[in-house]
Amino acid sequence: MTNAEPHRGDGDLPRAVPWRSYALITGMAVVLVALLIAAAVPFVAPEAGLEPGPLVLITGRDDSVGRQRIELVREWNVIHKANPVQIVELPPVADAQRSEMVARAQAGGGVDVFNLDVTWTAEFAEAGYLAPIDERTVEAGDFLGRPLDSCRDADGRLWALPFNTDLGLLYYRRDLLQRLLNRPNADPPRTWNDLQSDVEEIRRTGYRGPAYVGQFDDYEGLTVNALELVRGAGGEIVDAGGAVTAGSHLDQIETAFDRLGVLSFGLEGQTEDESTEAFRSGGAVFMRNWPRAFLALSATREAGQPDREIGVTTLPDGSGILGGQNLAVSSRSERPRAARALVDFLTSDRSAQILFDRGGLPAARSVVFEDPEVQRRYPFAAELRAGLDDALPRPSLVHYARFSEAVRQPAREYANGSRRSLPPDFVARVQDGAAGRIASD
Amino acid sequence: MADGRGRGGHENHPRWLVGFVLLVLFLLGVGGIILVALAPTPPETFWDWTLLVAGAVLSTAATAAWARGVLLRVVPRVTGTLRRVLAWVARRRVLVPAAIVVALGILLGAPGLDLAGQLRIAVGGCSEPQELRLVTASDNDVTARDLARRYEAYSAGRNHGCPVTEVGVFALDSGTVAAHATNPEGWWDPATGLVDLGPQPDLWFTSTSAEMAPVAHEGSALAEAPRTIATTPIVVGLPPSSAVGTDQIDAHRWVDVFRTLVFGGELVARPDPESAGAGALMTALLYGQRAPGALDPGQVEGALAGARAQGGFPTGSSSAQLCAYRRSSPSIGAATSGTPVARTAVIATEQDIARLDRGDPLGGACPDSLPGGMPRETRLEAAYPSDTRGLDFQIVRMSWTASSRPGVATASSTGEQDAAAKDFEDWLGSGEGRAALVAEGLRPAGAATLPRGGLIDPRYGVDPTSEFDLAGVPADVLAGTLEQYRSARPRGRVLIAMDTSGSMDAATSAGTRLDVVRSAVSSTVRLAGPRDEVGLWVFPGGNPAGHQELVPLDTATPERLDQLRRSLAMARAAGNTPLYRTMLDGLGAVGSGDPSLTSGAVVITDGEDTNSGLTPQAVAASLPAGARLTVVTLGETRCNGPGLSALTATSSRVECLDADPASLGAVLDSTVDAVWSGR
Repeated sequence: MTNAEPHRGDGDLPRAVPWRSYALITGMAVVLVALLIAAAVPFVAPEAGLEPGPLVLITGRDDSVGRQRIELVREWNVIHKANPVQIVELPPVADAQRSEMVARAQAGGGVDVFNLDVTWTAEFAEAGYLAPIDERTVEAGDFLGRPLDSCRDADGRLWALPFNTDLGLLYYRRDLLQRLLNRPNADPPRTWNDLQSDVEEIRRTGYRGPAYVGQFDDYEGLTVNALELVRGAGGEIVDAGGAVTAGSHLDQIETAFDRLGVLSFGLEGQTEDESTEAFRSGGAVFMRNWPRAFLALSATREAGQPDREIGVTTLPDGSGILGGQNLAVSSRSERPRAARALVDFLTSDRSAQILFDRGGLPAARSVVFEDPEVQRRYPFAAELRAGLDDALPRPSLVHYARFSEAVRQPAREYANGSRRSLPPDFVARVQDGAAGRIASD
Repeated sequence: MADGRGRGGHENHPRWLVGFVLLVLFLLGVGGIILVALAPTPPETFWDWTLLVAGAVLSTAATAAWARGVLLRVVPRVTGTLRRVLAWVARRRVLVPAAIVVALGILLGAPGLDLAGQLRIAVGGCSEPQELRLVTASDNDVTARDLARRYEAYSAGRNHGCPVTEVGVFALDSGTVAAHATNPEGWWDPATGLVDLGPQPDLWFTSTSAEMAPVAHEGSALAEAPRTIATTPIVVGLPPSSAVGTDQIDAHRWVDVFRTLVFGGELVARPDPESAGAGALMTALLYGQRAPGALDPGQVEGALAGARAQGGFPTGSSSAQLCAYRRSSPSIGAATSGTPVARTAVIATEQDIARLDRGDPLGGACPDSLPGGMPRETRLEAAYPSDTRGLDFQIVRMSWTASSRPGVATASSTGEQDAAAKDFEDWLGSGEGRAALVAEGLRPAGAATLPRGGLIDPRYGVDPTSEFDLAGVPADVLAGTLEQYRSARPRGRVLIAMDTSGSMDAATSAGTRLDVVRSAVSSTVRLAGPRDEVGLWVFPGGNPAGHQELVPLDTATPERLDQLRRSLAMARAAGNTPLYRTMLDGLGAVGSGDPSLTSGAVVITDGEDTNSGLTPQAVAASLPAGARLTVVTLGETRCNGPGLSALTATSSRVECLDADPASLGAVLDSTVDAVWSGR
């Protein structure tokens, strides 16, 4: 037998391997297995402390650009196999969203997380639909103060975390300001008085497009427009404590509603989308809208289409009123810890960054505004950040929907030109609405 | 006790001073309470509560101090009397105690409960009302909302101003509701969840029984058999300028009325038979389904199309047509009484005529009321053909069971929701509910006479004494009418050309612009009749300066419409905008020279021409005889832009319409329907 290798008989022993090599190999194997297990755990086992099982998130239609909210939930589902999220997406109309959410809350189980408009948080908390959030489990400093305040009730108890915040902004066309108002620097008006004067002057020029577009249709958007104008006129309808103070500010309210009639003159009623389109078309000179309209306006990719000269600033007279959505855990959730984990995931720095940067929904976390990419994409980011600090929340009322209706009805009549003075029972109706009562006719 | 204060510190003071102080305290206290009580609302502010609490303390203290002396004298006498009364009662062991308990219960029970309720609301505010969701077709939206508000006010009236139930009203077409009522998965759309469907309804409200007919009670989400709650007859609304009087219509049959109107040179408008149950019913009456001497459907449609061509009435619901009438009224809009719209006799419901004349909101483009109502000289007057029928408004409770299928997040109905829905139904049948129906211009079912004070009043152009057949038209008759209508209406040929240039990829709130156009085109082709023709192009095509034909022009069979919808999904946004070249080619394709066809090209674009090398004038010059061109803009470009305004200025057969994502569907519907209807 010719064999190049030395024959090893049964009785031969392999050459002794140094113990250090055994230890090294064993150690590497252990580390490798540990890493594999760590990587696989989220896919095969529930996270520590989270109740396994599906979660139901009920939310209004995702209006973010590119449906970033839905994308975030998909991401959660990839990572958290033990707690897949089923989304119940509702129509874009706020009334329809609230009605279905209230009905499901009253019916009991079936919902784990509510995505609530800021104005509904107090109502849902008071009615017992929400589980309170322990302040000690939230790093409150990471959230912007005003949006986080919108998650508390009148006693300061925390019931939700901000998904995104929102603030009305003034959009304007630099080229039209230069041409129609002979304003070389295209400076926007800083007071409502100036804005109204500009609008009236533009109309006097015979300009065919609308001078100003906003939200004048019969829905919550009109209430927000009206509240901003009231604040801009130095008045208020409800104070920070939730008391109706309209009776002490009737002159300012009348001024604001008069202005609403001037600004909305000739417009049948508009929603956010309709005003965006009116502005996008090149016709409207000024527009009041939310920050997400900026992405919708900027998105044009055809070669040879020049970017419009769009300017964006905060509303005149620092009259911003806060919007946005808050995520809350249902008090009837069978998986409250998993539901809370979902809320934490969706309100994290990273989620807030994605929602704002890609989706156009302003972040409720301060760190996002420091991101250079966000600042590049939104030239008005610093102004928006400052505006959010100065903004007032919408009244924290358990019966906000009825209050809103009571404010909106005369506002709508001013907007369509059928009313020129406040109804004599305006204050009583607002008080009734704020208390959830229906005034007898 | 040298100072004499041993038996009460005030004994050294004059009695009148003590009495005066007590009186002042008492008045202050009671005054505070009265001030709060006189306020229009319960105490809410800190000041209200201060007045109330301080008032109560002061008045109680003063009263107690004054009463102390009195009580010292009176109590022994009272206790002695009471002891004797009790002994007397004790001798009559059952009868008197029972009578006392009953009397106290009557005297204190109801007011006590009422007071407790008021206190509860004054302290804690209104509690959350039970949420109720009602679905109805958009044509009934205004009526349903008004009824809901009246019911909420009624329920609040029973609960110290706090509504017990809150009714949300949501619009959805009846076909979709019917389909989901029998859907095993319940109220859920696999693609969009509840985004398009809206809230899961507890109640379904329709204007005709035919809308609910496809849904059997058993095995569906209907919790009961539907019930008729009200009716309203179909009438002819005559404008003041009409040469035909109501006496020429009342007591005459529909077929004769129609002849009288048309042969008398009147313009007649009827709601779209496809848009709502009311339109189909009116069409059945015009075709004379149940009458001898029935009219030829082709003759009816031809006359109506002719009137539309002259009158400019929109195709759509009854309320949309009346809204157009209101807006054309001389004192409201720019038109004069000589305009065709103002001269058009409108086939509508009695309720619609009354709402129009009183100035009620009509919905759609007329969401607000018209203070003072329509000017007298422009009010319509209802005339009642002898064989007219009515809409038979239905309501039914719905009950849902949550689906166990993964990915379907539906919810089961609860007993509380069902009870609230039943209470709403019962209210509609009660005295208050029937009064509310009359206030809305409806005739409550089974009412021998109409309650006074409602909308059915001669002041609003209607006749409360008129009588008609309350039975609805059977669903199969309506279905047959629709088939006849689709065959009878004029033929049309429509070529739809969609811009798929790169800018169509721009985002809107409803997806990209291309998504919005896809959705609108997919929906609008439903309006094609079986004899109509349709084709679909996109531009740019393989040749960057031209178009691509996705579906050639041909009869709009169901298969071809399916093919068209599938083709839409393949369209991608990229490239330039050969707008004028596409228009030119499109007009060449639709203008076949067939005189029996009305033809038109509809071009949807978001940009001006970039690479055709043609002028707008060249496009206008190539318009074939009888063909028309409609440009629908979306996005940056608008009809007042330089290119499109030059195009529309060159020919009256070129029309340009601005749309946005929200309105594109309606604009397209109106445009293509005008061609397919021969207008």
